[in-house]
Amino acid sequence: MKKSFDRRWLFLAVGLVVVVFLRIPFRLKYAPNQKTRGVYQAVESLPPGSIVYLAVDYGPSSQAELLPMHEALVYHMLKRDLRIIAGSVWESAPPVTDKAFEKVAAVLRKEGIEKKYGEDYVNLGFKAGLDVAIAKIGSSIPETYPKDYRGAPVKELPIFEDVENFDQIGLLCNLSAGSPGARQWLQQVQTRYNVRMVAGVTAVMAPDLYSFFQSKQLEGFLGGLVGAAEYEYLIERPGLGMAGMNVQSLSHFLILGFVIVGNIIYFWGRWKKRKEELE
Amino acid sequence: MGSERRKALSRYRYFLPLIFVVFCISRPLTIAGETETAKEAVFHREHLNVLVALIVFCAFFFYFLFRSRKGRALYLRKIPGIRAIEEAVGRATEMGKPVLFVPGIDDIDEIQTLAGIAILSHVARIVARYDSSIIVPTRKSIVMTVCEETVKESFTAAGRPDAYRGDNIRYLSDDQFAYTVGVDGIMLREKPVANIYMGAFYAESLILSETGFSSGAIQVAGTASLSQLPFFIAACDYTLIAEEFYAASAYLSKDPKVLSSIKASDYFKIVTILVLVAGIILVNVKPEWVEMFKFWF
Amino acid sequence: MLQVRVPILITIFVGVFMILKFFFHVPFIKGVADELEQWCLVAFAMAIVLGVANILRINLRVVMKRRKDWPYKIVLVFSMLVMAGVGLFDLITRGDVSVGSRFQYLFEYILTPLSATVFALLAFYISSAAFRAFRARNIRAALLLISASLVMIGRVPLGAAISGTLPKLADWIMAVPNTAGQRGLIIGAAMGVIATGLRIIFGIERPYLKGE
Repeated sequence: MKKSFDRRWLFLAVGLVVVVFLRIPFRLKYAPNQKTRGVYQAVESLPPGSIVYLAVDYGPSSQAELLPMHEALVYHMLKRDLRIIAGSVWESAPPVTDKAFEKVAAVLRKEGIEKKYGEDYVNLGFKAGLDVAIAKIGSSIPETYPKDYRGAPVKELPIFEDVENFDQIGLLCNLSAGSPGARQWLQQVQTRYNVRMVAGVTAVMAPDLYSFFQSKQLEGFLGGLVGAAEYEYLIERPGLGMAGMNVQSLSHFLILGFVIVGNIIYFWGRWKKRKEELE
Repeated sequence: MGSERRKALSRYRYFLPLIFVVFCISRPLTIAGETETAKEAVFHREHLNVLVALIVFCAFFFYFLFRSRKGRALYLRKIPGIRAIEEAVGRATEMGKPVLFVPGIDDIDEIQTLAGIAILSHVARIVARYDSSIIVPTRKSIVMTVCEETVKESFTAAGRPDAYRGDNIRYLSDDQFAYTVGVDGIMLREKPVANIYMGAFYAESLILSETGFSSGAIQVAGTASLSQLPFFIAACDYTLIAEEFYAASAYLSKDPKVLSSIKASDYFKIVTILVLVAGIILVNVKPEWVEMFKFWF
Repeated sequence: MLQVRVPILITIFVGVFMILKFFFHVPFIKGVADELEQWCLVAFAMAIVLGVANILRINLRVVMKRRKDWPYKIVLVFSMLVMAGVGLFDLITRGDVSVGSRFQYLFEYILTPLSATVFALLAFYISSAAFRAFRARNIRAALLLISASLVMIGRVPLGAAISGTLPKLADWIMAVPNTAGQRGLIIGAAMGVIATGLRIIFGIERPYLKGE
């Protein structure tokens, strides 16, 4: 009977690499690609005081991949004195948004920059309705979100003084891990209102966005942890992205090693079988 | 007496949708006069190309629909994955184990979920005919309600309403990975012999299919979530890719009305390819016509 | 039969108005379509209640009849009630469930690590799936193997450290052949979406309805 390889050896090897090299930090060189630079340039090109709509559409399961780029983007935007309106159509996203805002605000406070909730950033919370909710947000933000995540009427917040819809929004930035996500924002908001858009997605979703980047509907996008690491490199603020890329780089090589060994075993088996047949 | 009164009252439930429609129409009429309307064109000119494409598609659709009504057979090529579904159900019956059907993880507004539920109705009919059982775990409660009705109706249509088990249609959790772990648990505890994944999937696709692979079940997947196709192809025995998935319900039903929509989309694709080729030639030969071409296409 | 015709008529009514809204700027059509969108939002919000009721109905029945794995059902229902209860308590006492609330604490220290753990399983499953699937059995499989290897090495900084050409090659594979294939699939899938949508709007495909 043919003995099949127990895949738990593979799991053990991957686990060991991740655990060991998380404790052994090392520096890598980054060469951010055109898509990451597109996101960076889009944020850099906005004049101070502009409003960014941050659509946070991911949950706790994708935090490992998307939270690093989320924090890097929020840090970059607030440091450039941009104002952020954050909303979600995923029910588990608002606590993650709050956490990112609080963490970045604390970091900026240490750098001597004070950012206030309601004036510089706001978390509108969750809106049920998926694609329909996105379409309604596009037509009127205060009508769709009469109150923010903390229960305050949005019309009373300073950040909403002149904001009605996407005509007043300088940039739409979507962070998503599935559906509804970047594609739905492109369909419902970007094409209808012709608003500038960038996105941050998980690595698995990144290939879907190449065609939108080539057609210039997206000015840039960040794909997975490598996108987060490249963005941190551009804003010169190492964070979770760059820390995670060390381990991810080695894991890629490990999996490639498994694939090569698997192919060697496969071809050796085939050669042996052919030899036996000839004999 | 009570049941007669209930019967009489139940007839009035059809007025509720009528009230809904009247309300939806009357409310905009009452507030329309209060708002100023800007001087805008009635028709969105920038969507003219979409309207033309939709009219062409509908023309193909109705042409093949009328052709099918005249009894002319419509040819579609064979797709191995669809035949494998019936074999998988047969295998489940032989081994006395259930079939697991996952209608995707998205909500009812996603067209892939609707396509998955259409396939579920045919699979449930096959399961009922073979006297097997089917488990349908769902991630959304509305999807669970629709799946309940679908499976119940399929068992009734197959002449086995007594075999329908409502507890087999389960709402697990709205959380993506809680749902994934729940389905994995069903695979490992109830050991279905056939796993059928039809609908929209995201990051959990590999977790589901690898767990199913390790349990030894025959696996058939179908999705238009392009980023998940490689994972299904790697771990499943058969995979329906994008349009094959949308065509699957037409195949299984063999209903000429449904098959005609597949033919329409195939012919529309030919038109699209011709337009693409024309555009490539135009960009190189007559670049000054490109703007007009872009407006129409 | 009314119970088949009425849902189909509602589907046609809603489908037609949403399509008309896309093409025409007529206040009446926009008004009706906006009204329908509002109804849709309400229905989606009510679905959460439906889900909770279903969880309680099915799991409490298993517990009462002492069917297989009934203790786990108690854990499930208890967890759901605790999470909902803590959230409601925070809403009543502090008015929100944002940073600093007990709900946020449960979310961050229980739900988030559990979700991230399950997501992390992907790393292990990908390695076993790659080991099994990436075999150069024929030319197409060999092409898949080579392109996947180049993208895997080229997309990480370690690959850029080995050679500057690798990231450019990986980018080219993603931007040209991958995108070309994706575009073909997207166009095909879009046709399928239109065909399925028209079938549902016109009532040709109605698996959830009784009768013909």
